[in-house]
Amino acid sequence: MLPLVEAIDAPARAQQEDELAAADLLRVYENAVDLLPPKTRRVFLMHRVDELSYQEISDIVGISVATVQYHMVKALAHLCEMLDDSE
Amino acid sequence: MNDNNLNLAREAQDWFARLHATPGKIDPATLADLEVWLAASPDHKRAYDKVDRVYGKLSVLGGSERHGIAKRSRRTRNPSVNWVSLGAIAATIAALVYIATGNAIRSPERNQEIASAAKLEPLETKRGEIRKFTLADGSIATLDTDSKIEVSMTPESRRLRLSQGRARLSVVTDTRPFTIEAGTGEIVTKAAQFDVGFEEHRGVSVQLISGNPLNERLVVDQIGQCSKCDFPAREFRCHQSIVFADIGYIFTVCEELPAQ
Repeated sequence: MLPLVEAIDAPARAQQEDELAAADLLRVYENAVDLLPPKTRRVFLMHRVDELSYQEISDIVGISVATVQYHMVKALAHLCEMLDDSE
Repeated sequence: MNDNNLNLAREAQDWFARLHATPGKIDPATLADLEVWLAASPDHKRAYDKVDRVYGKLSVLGGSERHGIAKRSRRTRNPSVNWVSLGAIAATIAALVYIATGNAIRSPERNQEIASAAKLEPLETKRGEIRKFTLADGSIATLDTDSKIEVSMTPESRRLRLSQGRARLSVVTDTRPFTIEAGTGEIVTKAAQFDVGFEEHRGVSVQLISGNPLNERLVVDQIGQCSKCDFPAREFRCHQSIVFADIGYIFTVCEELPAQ
């Protein structure tokens, strides 16, 4: 087994293009999330980014688990409409 | 979107939300109910796949300055448990999708080698991160966001396993073959550039960017005929093929068919 070394090369052109594309994509996703109502956005990000369970979100936000799920469905409906361009 | 499609989309979103109540944990009863719903109609599966696809894309928010981890209170969790793992479970719902690039049955020696490789610190990227790694042989692996590879280099072989996400691999010429393993298949090459990545439901796509496909251990072509494969071609149906007129073809996601 040989050691692996992280590259210190300057980014190749293709990589820079990939990074630019990723940055553009990120902006699209950020903008879509921005359009969510504040509470729905907070619940969604706690779940998707912070990886909290509905129960944990319920405890922190002070809403029922069913209401957490309601906000998740609402967020998914909005984001699916905004973001899925594969069809 | 008409009312029927809207209702179907909402049902799929409800199912997805129910199944993902606790990251990293799937309730077997909910999963069983979901399987019944998915089996009821191809439209159900398409609607569910769409939610899964969008939710997967949103993993990049982890790298967001506006919404990402740096802005938020982060809990420590088992890094091996994330939505991709959930995708793996969801994959059992749908037909199994295999990359048809090699023998799905591994030899004991190969298993041992991979197990050793897994002991290495894996090379991985966080959400929102794209990073380039140079391997010990000079080959380069550029990892897309939220990706992970494991690499084993021995005097006889070069082996890389993609365990999560997507990677662009530029393999340099060497006397040793370079084996790229993803899903249940593998590609063996001596020098080529590939994009390899898990798609929704853990299917694997492989795209040859440069190199001569005739030099590779070929995957399945766009009409499902297998060349130099270790399994009977008739057991697989391939789709999502892209033809590269100048260098030939290699881009397949293959689905295992039921035994005759």
